[in-house]
Amino acid sequence: MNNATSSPGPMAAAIARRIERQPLTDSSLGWLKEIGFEVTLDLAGEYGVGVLPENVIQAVEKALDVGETHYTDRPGLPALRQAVAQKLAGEQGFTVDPATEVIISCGGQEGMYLALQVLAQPGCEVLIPDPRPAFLSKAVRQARGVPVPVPLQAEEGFEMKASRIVEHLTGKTRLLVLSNPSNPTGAVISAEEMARIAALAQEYDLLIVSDESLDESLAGDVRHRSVASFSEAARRTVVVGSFSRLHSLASWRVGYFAGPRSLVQPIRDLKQAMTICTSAMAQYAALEVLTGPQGWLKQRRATLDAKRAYVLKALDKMGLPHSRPAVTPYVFVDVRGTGLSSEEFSTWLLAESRVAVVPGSQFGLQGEGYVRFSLWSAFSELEQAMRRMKWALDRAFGGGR
Amino acid sequence: MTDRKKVSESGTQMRYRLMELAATMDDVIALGRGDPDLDTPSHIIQAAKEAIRRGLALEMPPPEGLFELRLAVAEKLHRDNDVFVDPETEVMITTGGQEALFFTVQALVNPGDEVLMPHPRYTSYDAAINIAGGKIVSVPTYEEDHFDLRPEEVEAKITSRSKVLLLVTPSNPTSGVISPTNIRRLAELAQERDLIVISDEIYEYYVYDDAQHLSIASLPGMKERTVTLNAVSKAYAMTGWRVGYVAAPPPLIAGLRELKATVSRATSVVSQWAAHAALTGPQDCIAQFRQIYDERRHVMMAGLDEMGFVYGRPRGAFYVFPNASSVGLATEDLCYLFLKEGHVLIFPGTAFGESGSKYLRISFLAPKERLQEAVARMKRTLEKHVQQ
Repeated sequence: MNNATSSPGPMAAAIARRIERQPLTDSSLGWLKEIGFEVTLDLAGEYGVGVLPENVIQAVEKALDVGETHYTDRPGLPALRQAVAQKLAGEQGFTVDPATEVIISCGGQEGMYLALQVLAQPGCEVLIPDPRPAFLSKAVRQARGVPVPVPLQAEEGFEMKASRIVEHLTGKTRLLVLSNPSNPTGAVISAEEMARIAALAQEYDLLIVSDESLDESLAGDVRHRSVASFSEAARRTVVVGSFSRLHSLASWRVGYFAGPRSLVQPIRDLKQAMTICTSAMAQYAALEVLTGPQGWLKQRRATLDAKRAYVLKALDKMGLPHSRPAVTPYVFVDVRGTGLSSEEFSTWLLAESRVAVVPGSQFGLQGEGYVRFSLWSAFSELEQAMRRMKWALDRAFGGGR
Repeated sequence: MTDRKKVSESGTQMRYRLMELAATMDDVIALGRGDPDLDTPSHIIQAAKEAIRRGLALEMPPPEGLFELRLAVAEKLHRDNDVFVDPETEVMITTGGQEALFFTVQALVNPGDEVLMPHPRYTSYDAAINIAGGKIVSVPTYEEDHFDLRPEEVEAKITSRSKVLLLVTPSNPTSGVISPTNIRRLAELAQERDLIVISDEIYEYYVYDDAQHLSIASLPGMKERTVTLNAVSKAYAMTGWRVGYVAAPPPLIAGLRELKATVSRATSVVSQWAAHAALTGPQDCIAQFRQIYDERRHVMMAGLDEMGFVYGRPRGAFYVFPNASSVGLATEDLCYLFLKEGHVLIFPGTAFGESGSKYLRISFLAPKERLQEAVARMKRTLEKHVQQ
C-alpha cells in the first residue's frame, strides 16, 4: 500500500505500559516458518484439528437456517449451560446452577484470562504450576498479580503436590491456579493429593482457578478428579473447560467456566464488557458435541490412545525418557541426555528432520530440558516423525546419549 | 474470599435487569437491546456453511485474524472511508466491536490518563476505561444540536493529562452524527493537542436525512493518530457472529495482537469467513436495511410527536433518544411502568450515564406494525398512570 505510515509516529509513543513486547506464540519455531522453512511434520500444535462429524455440522446449519444469528443470552445458550452443568455434576459431583453459575466463553483460554483478571487483586501472589501453559504468567501480570511458579518435579511425574504449594505460600497468596490434567506435561493430580490440596485451600483461604481443558482427553482408563469435587474447595473454585482438544472445536473458540455464583458473576460482567457473548454458531456446535451422539468421540479417544502407546514405545526404543502422560494429546520428552537445551533440541530436530515440537522452556523454568510432542497428526505422520527422529538421533549422538 | 474486582457499572446492570424482567413476561415488544431484528443476509449464511463444508474452519486462525479478512477490511476502508491501510500490519480482527474497543482502551490507556468522551454514551466504554485505570472526562452533547459534538466543548475539557479522544459517530444511544465540519475541527484539535483519536464507526451505514458520515482517519495527518473501530454486527445484522475490526498504525495493532494471543488466541474462524463474505459480497442489503430503518424511524418519530415527547432528531444508528422530562416521572420508573403495564421494553437514559437522566432510549428494531403497537401501548400506559 502506497500510503503506509512510517513509524514511529504518535501511536508508538502512546502504547500503554501493560502491553508486553515479547510475543506469545505456540512455538519459538515461528521464525523458521516465516523465512519459508517448510515444516513437514508438525508435532507442535496445541489443538486438535479434525473433521467434524456430520451431526455437528448439521446442527450448526440448522441453527443458521432458523436465524440464530443474533446475540445469545449474555451467559450463553441456556441449553448449553444446562448441558455443561449436567456434565460437571455427572462426572465430578460438582453441582452448579446453570442459570447463574455457568458461563460460555470464547474458548477455555478466555475463561482462564477473565477469571484471573477478576480474582487476582493487584499485588497479590498467584501460585501457578511450572511447567504451565504459556499464556498463564502474562494473564496474571495483566491482572497486576504476581505469578509465583510452583516448580513441579520430574521425579514426581510433574504432579502438583500440596507440600510444594505450602512451600510457596506467603501472606500475600490469594489464588492457586491448577492445570489438571496438565498442559504441557499431561500429568493428572491423584485423588489423594487433590484432597490435600483442597484442604489446604480451605485452611489458607485460597481461591482456585482450575484449568480442566484436557478433561475429555484422558488416556485409557485414567480418571481425573476435579478439585471442585471436594467439598472444602467447591465453593472457592472456578472450573474452566474447553471444546478445543478432543472435540476439535478450537478454531470455533468456545469453552466455559463454572463455579459459585459469588465468584462467577463478576467474571461474567467482565466477559460482557469484553465480548458481550460468545459466537452463537460456536455455541450451537458445542451444544451438539455435548448432547449429540458420542460415538465419534469414543473413536477419536481410542485413536489418540493408540497413537500415544505407539509414540511412547518409539521413544523408549530411542532411549529418550518421557513423562507417562495421563492424557492422550501431549507427551513431555526428556532431552537432557543429548546435552542440548530444549530450544536447541527443537531447532536441531526441525533442521535435521523437519519435525516441529515445542521447547519445554516455553512452559517455564521447569520445562527446560524437555520438549512437548503433540499427537494430533495422522498415525502415518507420527510414524514417519519417529523414524526420522531416530535416524537423526543415532547419527548425531550415536549410543552415547 | 472478599474484595473481588467489580466490573459492571450501574448503567449496564440496569439494562440487564430490565431485559431479565422482560424475559419472564409474555408478548413484550423489545425496543431495548441494539440487536437488529433483521436476519443476516442469506449469501453470508451460505458462505459460512460453505466454509465449514470445504474444511476452511478447521484450523486456528492467527491472533490478528485471517489474512483474507484483513485484506477485505483494507479494501472496504479504501472503498467506503477513504482510509488506506496495510492489511499485513494495520488491521486486527476481534470478537465483535466490543472486544475491539476493550482491547484498544487497554492498549492505550495507562492509569491516570484522561479519555475525552461525548456524553450520553454507551457505558461499555466506561467499564473498559475503568479497568485500565483511566479517567473519563465527559463532554456533553445537546438535544438542540441533535447530539452532534461541539469541538469547543471538547477543547474546554482538554488538560495536560488528556491522551485519547473517543468519538462515536453515529452515536449510541443518542443517534447523533458528528458533522463533517465538526470532524474536521476535531482533527485539527487532536493534532494541535497531540491526542490519539478512537473513532467508533460501527453505525456508519445508518445515517438519515442529509447527515453524512466522515471517517476522521481519512483527513490529512490523522491516520497516524487514529484508531478506527468497526464491526459487521450492526451493518449486516450479524451480532451473533461476533466479528469486529480495528484499523490503526502498526504499533497499536502489534499491541492488540499481543493482547488477543493472551486473552483468547483468535476470533472464531467460521465467523471470520462470514464477515469476509459480508465485506466482499453484494452490498445492496445495506441500502435495503437503511430504507427499512428509515421508515421505522419515521413511525417512531410520529408516535413520539403524538405522545408529546420532544427529541433531538435521530440522524443515525437505529435509536431515538426522546426527552421524557415532561412526564414528571423518573425515567427508570417510567421504563418499569412501560414494561410492566404496556409490555414494551425500552431503556432509561440513565443506563447511558448520569446526564441521560431526562431521556429514554428506544431502538426501532422491530417491524413497523409492532412499533405502531408499541406506541399505542405506551400512550395507553401514559394516559392511565401519568397526569400530563
